[in-house]
Amino acid sequence: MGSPTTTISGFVGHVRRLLYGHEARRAIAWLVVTTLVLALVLPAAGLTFGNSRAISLAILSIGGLAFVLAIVGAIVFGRVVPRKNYRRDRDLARWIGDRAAPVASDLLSAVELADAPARPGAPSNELVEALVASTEHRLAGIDPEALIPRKELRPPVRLAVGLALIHIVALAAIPHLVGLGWRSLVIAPPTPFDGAQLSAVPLVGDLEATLVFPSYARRPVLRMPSSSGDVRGLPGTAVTLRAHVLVPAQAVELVIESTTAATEKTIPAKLDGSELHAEFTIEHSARYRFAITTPTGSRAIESTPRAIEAEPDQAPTVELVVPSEPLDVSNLRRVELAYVIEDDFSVVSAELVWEAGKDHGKKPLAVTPGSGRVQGKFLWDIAEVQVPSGGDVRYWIEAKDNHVGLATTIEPTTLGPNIGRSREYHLRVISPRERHEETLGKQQEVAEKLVKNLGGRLVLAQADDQAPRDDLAKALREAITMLGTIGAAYEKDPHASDALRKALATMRDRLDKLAVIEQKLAPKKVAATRSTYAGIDPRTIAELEDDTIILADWLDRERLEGLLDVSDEIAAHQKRLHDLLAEYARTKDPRVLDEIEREMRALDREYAELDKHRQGMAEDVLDQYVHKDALTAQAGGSCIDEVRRLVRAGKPTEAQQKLESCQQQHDRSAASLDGSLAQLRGDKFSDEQKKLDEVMNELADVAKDQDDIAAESNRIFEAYAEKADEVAKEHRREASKKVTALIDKLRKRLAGINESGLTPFAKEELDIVERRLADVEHMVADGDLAEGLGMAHQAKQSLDTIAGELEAALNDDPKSKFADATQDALDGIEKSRPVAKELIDLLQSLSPRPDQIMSADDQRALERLRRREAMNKDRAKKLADRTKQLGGELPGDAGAELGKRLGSAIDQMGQADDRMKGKDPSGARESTRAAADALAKARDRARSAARQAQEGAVGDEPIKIPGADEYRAPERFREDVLEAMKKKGGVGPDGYDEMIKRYYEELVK
Amino acid sequence: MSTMRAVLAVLVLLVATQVADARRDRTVAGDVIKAARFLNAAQLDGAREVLADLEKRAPDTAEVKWLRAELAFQTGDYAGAIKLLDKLPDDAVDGMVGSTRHLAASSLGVTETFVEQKSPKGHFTIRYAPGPDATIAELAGEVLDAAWEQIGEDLGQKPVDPIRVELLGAPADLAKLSPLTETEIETTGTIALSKYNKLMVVSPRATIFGYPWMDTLAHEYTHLVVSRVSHDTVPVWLQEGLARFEQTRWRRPPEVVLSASEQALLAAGLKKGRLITFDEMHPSMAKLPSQEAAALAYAEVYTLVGWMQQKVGYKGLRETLIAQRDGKSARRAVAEAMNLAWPAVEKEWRTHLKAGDVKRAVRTSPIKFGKGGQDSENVGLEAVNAKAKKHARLGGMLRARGMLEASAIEYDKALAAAGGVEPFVAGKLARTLVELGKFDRAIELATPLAASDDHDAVAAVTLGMARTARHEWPEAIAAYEQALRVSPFDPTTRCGLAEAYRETKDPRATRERSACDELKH
Repeated sequence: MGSPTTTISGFVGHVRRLLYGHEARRAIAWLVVTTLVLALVLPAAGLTFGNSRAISLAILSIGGLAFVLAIVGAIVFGRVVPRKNYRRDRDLARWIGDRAAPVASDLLSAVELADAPARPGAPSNELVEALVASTEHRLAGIDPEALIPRKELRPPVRLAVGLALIHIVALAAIPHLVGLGWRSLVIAPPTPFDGAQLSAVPLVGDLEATLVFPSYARRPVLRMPSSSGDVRGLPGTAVTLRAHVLVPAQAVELVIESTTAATEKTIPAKLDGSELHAEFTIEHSARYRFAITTPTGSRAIESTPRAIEAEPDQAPTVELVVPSEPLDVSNLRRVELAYVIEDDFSVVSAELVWEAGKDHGKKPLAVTPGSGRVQGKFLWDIAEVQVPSGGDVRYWIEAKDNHVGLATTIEPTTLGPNIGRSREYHLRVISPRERHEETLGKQQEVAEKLVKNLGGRLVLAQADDQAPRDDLAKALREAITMLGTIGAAYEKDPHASDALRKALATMRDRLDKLAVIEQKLAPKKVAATRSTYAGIDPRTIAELEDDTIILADWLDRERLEGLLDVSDEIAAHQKRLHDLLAEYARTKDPRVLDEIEREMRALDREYAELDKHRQGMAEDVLDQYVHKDALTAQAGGSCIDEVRRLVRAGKPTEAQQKLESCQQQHDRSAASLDGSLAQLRGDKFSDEQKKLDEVMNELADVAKDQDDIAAESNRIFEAYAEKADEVAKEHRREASKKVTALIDKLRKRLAGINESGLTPFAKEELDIVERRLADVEHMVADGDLAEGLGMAHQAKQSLDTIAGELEAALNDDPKSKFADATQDALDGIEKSRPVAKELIDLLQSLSPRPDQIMSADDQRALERLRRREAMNKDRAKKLADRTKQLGGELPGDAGAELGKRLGSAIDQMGQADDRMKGKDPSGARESTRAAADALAKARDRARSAARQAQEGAVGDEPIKIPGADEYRAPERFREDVLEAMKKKGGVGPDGYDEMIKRYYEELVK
Repeated sequence: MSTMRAVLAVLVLLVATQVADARRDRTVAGDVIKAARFLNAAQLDGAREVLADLEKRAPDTAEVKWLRAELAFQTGDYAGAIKLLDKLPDDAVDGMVGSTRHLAASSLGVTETFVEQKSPKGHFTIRYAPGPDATIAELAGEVLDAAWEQIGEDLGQKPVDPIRVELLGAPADLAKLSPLTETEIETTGTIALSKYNKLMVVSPRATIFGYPWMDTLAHEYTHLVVSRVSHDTVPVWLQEGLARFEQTRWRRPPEVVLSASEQALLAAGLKKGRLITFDEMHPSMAKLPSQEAAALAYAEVYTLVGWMQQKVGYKGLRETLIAQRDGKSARRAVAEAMNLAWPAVEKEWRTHLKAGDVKRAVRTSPIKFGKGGQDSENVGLEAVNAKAKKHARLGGMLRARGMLEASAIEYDKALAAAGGVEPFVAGKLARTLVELGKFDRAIELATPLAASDDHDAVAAVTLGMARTARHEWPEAIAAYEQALRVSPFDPTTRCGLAEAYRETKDPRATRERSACDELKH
């Protein structure tokens, strides 16, 4: 009871101390919060408004005031106010009573009574003591600590922790910004331009800038007198400024400020009297001002800066034109690609780049050095791309400009050229041959099924068991279904012939009928006996026997054709390798070596493929039809190994020679294989081969005759050419003399024409006349009288055009103020036209016709040859008709191909006939030779067409960009067309009408 | 052989000219020619002797180095030959250096992995690639030893130095080791050569059905002996006649056995009076106008040699060779041996032919080389009658797929369609029937086939299998041995023979068992 903790005064005193401490902690916590808030807000404000020192100071002051107020607040609320509120026990007892309700009244009463002065009616001491005692007793059960509201501390502490975390994050993440914020508040920014006085008016005048561009730009020096001072140039451009200072100056300097960074550079100018001279190099876009130090030492700087604009060197723009997107090609086709590359300065190099899986490659393109625009077409040989059939290839063009870059002190720029890249395109490498072989594999599966079915039925026909028969019937139906699938696959297969399709389709129909009959015969419930199928079994077996043989024959033939297809591919690769070796021998370009290596690898693969094909063939077919000569995969591979060895030893010429021997060896092998195929067809498809042989024999006769005709035509031409040359030599001097005199006369007449009377068009046309006359002189001097005559005709034609134009002008406006002059000009033209006519007559007289030159014997020979050509043409026509009639009876595509090629040869023969009629030995020679070539091609192509060899897969014909040829008309042609269109009615030069029409059609397109 | 002679004749002239040009000692030049002649005439001992002297007097001349290299090459030291020609240009000795170097290099390339085995009596060194050829090396040695003995008796020379025999894996190897091309080898059916003092023989494993390789070894060995005896002076036509006549001497008495086509050619030639005269055969059979004429010529000389042997025995034949060695022409030598004027020789020989005094005719079939295609049962089908071909082909297709019963049905249909003898089909059917366990019919079909063509290994093996199944051991052995002479790499032959030898207690059973095991694995 007497314990001090339980006395009221002791209890209250204890609580007071605790309460004072609590309030002090609360005030400190809020002070910390306030401080942390200020520590965040102030640098942020500094960053935002720190450019102005005044604002910075204001922010700092506000911040400082807020901090002071926070401290004051903390003192007031943490110390002063609690002491004022709880100094008296009564107030504290009341506060305690609020928190310990059961003792509230007694405690307050006890405190008040204990301290109360004596007064009448006051309770007795005993009663008070009893109350005190009772209250103390009850206070003993109350923990003073529990009365303190600790919760009040949580909000400021949490806030403080949160803010502290924000600070940590900010310091870790953006320490420079935080620092910058504080610095901009605390540290005064340096005075701009070292305190120089800003001048609102320019400090220099008569400014002249000279720009020397970097060498790669190939631009001339640019002098800009009376310049504003703003300069624009490529990085690296040297700028020289000359000006007069407009105020007294002791020193002048250029202050260059970066537009992107807060940096500046000062360049001193040389001052000579009032004239200054300064130099700098453009590194990037910036501003500059002139700063002047006056003789008194004061400094002034222009307030308005002048601009330095760094002109960016753009990467080249590349446009790639392709036949289609995506593009499907076989791995031996060539694709035509076109490109247009433009650069603001110069394109240095360009290359086609491709990627196919892990393989990638580049092909350099032709670029004219120093040109800002490059365009061209090229053929891309897909053989360069090492990608299996079905593989996807991405390709594009990359171009480099002549940019060399500049490493600057202020900011680095990219060193080296800019690279421009076209859109990316795709192509899929497909091989019709490989697709065909896949189908062939399925055909082999059907063949196996049919053989097994036959074997099963041969044995089954002697038994009564129904279950195996059901199995065989099911297997047969499966084979029939497969035949349908294969037929569909062959529909669009260029390597499959109509005869094969037909054979499979009819086989399917026959087997299907038998299968249906067999199905109908199958008893539903009772067991079948051998007699049930006695009628159908022999038919089915006979059919299966025939079909097995038919399929086997076709497989043998197709596989042999497959060998030849691979052989064709080898020939194509060898040809390409030969071209590459020639190119390498000529250029020694190491990039060509890479292509050579790639080509040799491709050949290795092809030889392996050839070997694989051989191994896939039946030994009896190889034995019977394929001569050892035809199986040269190993020898071919060894031959290419030798070529490879020579290439690597740096002997391209020897490698070429070796390759030629490899090619000859391969040609022999291919010819032998071709013979093997013909022999196999003769044995197993004798009708087809017999007809082909007949046609080919007749073709050989026609071709032989045509060769003879071409040779005779050549002889006649040679004789004519020799005589023509003699005649030209005899006439040249005389012709030149006469023609020059006439041309002089004509020129004098033309010179006398009143130019003021000419319309603008007539003036242009007159220029053409002058040019043509110069051409006539030139041609005659060369002895080419025929060409000179053509030029004279054109000159005369132009004079006629001018006359028409002038007459029309007079008719249109007879009262024109130019009418008299026009009439004078027309008179002048009229005087000139007879001279032009005279020139033509002279040239005609000097250019004898072939029939005037050729001997009588040769003329008769030409006539005989014409009759012979006509007869051969008839034979060729009959052969074409026969080929057409036979059509599908010939193997493969031989019929169609022969028809096409013979048609071309017949056209040439017709032309030859016309030329011979016209006594034109040159044209006759050309046409007879062309006809002979067409027939030779017909023979070659018919052989390969007989096995559906795909010309595109190995031929030279590339995949072209539609319309690309017309797009780039020859320059001369365009000139002529434009000249022609100026003429009345848009009539073009002779013979150009059709071309003009097509040209305009293309333009419209 | 004539090609080699021509080349060496040119060489001799050139060597003489070049040595003279180099103003070297005349005696040296003469000895160079002499050594070259010895080498040309396969007289290596003579060549060695002259060369030993030359090496002392002019060791550094290109000609002497080439002669040493050529000698090394002809004695089988290919690497040594290449080394000896080191630093000499290819065009030296008029290109002979390049030619020898090339031949030595390709020979080394083909044979450097070869192992060698002596023949049982040590007269031959058999060189072959490790592997299956080991199974015929011993057999080859036995055959050649027998031939050495018999042909040596017949022709009067038994070489004392071991003769090298190279068994080659493919015709392509023969092309590398000789002046022949692969195509020439295939076209002419050349399978072996006696050249460069050795025998080169393509192993039967390079062919599909085998070929009479044992007789071929003996045939080529005969060429070598004739060359040595005559110092390589015998013309090709007589060489071929002798070799053909002697090739079977290792296993049987002298006998002329013509093929059916040869008999037909001879009969037609006699009837029309169009036999090839021996003058026409001179100087080379290759000059004859057609292959048919060449075949007829070969048949003629074969019968001529057979007839001579009948008339004057081997003694007469030996005298013919010696006379040629001593410089007489073949015609003169033959006439002298026969003790007749040459026209009389021709006349009597024709009379002999007309009398038909030829033992018998046999079927022959061309050698089929493997071309690396898929196994097929139809190789040789082209010989089948057109009517029977379809069913024969189907039979082969079914047989290849293991459908033996069905295959036999188709082969039967083929035989019926042919309406007569069809050896290819009968052979295939017989084999199929054996595999189906139908031995009686198989024997019935195969026996006449094997009898009419002792090169038909298919029929012989079939017969062996059927006889074995019936435990008729002596007949089985006869059949298998016939097959062995043609197709020694067929495991059926070797295993069947092993079993038959074992049953008859023949000591060769061990050899055959070993070959059987080797070939089966």
